[in-house]
Amino acid sequence: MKGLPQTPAPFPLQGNSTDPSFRANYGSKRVLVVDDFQQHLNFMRKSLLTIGFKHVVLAQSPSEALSKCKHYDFDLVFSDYNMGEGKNGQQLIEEIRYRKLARKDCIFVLLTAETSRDIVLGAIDIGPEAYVAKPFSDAFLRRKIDQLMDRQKCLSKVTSAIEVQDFTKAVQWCGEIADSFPRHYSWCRKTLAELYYNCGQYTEAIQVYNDYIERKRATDWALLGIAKSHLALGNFTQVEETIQRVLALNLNCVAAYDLMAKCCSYNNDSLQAQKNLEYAINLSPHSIERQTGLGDVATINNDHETAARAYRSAIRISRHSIFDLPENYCSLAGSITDSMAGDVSQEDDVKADDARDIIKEIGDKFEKERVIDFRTGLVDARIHVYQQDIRGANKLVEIIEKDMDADPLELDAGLGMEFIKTYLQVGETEKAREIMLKLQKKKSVDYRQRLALGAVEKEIEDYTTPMDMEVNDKESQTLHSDEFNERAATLYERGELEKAIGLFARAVKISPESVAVNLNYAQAMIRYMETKGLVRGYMQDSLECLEALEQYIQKDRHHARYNNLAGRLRALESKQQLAG
Amino acid sequence: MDKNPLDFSLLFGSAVHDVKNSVGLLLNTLTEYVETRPPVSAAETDMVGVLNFEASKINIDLVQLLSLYRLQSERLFVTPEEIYLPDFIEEEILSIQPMFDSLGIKAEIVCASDLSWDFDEMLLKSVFRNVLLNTLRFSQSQIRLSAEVTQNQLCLSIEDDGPGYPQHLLADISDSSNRVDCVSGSTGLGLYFSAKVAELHSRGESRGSVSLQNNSVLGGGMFSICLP
Repeated sequence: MKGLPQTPAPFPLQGNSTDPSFRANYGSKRVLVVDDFQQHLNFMRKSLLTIGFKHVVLAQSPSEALSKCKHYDFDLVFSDYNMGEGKNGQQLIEEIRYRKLARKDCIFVLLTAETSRDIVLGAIDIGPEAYVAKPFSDAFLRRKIDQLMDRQKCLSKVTSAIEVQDFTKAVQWCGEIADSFPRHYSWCRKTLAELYYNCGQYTEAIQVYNDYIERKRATDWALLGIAKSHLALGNFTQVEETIQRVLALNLNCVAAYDLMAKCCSYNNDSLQAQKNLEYAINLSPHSIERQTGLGDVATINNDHETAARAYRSAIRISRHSIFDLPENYCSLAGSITDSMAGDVSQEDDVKADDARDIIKEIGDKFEKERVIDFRTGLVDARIHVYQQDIRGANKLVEIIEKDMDADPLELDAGLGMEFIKTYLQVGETEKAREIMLKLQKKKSVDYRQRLALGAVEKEIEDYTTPMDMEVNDKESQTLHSDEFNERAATLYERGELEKAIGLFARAVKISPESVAVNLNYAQAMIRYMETKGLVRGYMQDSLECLEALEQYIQKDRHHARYNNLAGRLRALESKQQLAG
Repeated sequence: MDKNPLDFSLLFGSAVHDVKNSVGLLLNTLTEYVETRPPVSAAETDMVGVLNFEASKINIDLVQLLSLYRLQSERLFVTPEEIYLPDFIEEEILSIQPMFDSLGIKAEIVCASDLSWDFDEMLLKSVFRNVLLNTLRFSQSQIRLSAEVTQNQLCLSIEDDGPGYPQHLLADISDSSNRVDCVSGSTGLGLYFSAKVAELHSRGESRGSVSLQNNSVLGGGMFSICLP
């Protein structure tokens, strides 16, 4: 035995408090190694046995690893990152942690061929304790394990106090360890600040972060911690100032843009929130949470194309992970649906098929869940609306309402929003308002859902702002207008465009403030001209229709449809110019 | 137009995965082989060293190539963390300990035991490993690894007692770190990658940089990467 890894290091190892008694303990520790390559597993086992481990369990796939975790209690898990098709190492670790298949103090090491952390960063902050690049020597492995075990033992007083929610103890230990182990100083300060934050003591948290910056360096995490605490305190100006400080140091700090987006959401500025999230995603697209966040905010802004792109990315990233949730598919199907123009065009048909395929995928992929069934049912109802089948849509909504009554379930915020969107589309504004009020009272609604509710509230207000009219009068008129509108829609579907245009014109006269009716009127005229040729009167009327709508449609749910029609009308105009 | 163009990054990634598996197997088998049949002559020890060296080189080159591709196609992203430099350097040496041993080269570490800095550990490891491998090839008997903070920058240096860096490399790198050519030979890619990684590390106005010199205290070349 000479020459290779077993020889002692030819240089003095400094600063590491490797306790030999630790190594003696390795015999009682249980290790799991996960790799799709049998040879690697064999080598790892050999190395681990050499280091002093006695219980080494091997798994050749993530699913095998999960079942081993159910049978054994591991102290240490090594997993390869890239294991071909299926889950990767990061997703495996997430699943073990999330499903609590291992003790909280189990140490995870991700073996990876990547050079950048960002590529392997997971959906949420449950990464491994260490990333190790392959290949490595026995000597390296031993050293890494010593270091991780050492660290864990040192910090265990804090982590176990946190686990039993003894915050006073945790705070005390943070202070003591920070003083006696300079190596763990940063971790202790950061943990201490987070403890204060989680207990709602934001001012104390800020104090700890500031102390750290003074003693060490202005780091991203310390500054962001300050910004986060200010956000909790509602000091929006300080949040922005602190984030500017972070960006001055590191223009590419993704977390800063994430936090800025959150701040904008608190401020009800959904457009700025979207801009910040788009910027963050441009820097680092690999986070599921960031992508779904963008999807949610873009939906609020009626930018359904962006929302659909973001949800699609989220689904792609979450493939094989425990964060591959049916909710994301619902949101995607919803965004695709709401990006339909409602003009019975081929483009709309493609979108409708796409949305329905995604709904079908949910059924194939996930176990049945009532909330999800209702959500997809409501999306389906909206598809009917956009395809001008209002009656079909109403029928679907009725069925869902009945089912909900028969088996009342806690109104989930996602489902609630789906109801609101759908009710607004089928013209049931009052019902939409009712659900909105219910959701606003709920405590479990998060800040992004609150932002969405705020936007919806405005929309409902716009929708029902009466032009000084008697209530009764208005009701009867609206009814009348609805009737014309519906009859016209039926004619339009049948292709009897001229008759439809006539009826829509009457509906517009009765309800000149209705966006939907105006859009229908314009759409019927545009479609007529597209198929049968230009008509001067129609040209004039549709132009007037769209111009009148232009000012308040910018943030309206009809935005996509309006844009579609405006584009087509422009095309007709140039045709007219050419002809003239 | 093909609507689904070949995802080269994916293809490349899985190819690298495969090749790396093979290289890893190669290295492990070599280690095992040498254990059962230790080299009996200096010539045999040298051959083992070359095998070890070249296999590691293939490995690191592939990783860097993949990273550079990512850098171009979707921005390589820096995740800085507080890293203790003594740990960082020692781990790097330990991970290629077999090569030090088989080449009979000693490593000297010059670093304060409590020195820490914020940088992307994985990116820096990739840089460090490559330079270390090259230095091993050219040094006679000694390598010096040092880390210190000067003018608010962390400077990591690798020095050797070899013949020093060739003139064209020294010229290239002093020209502008952006314009390092991927010249033939093994140093080009590694230097280009190092320069890119250094550049990605920034703090306010200041950016990281790399430098090559031939004024090592050991008499050979000196590679330094400085990070704000």
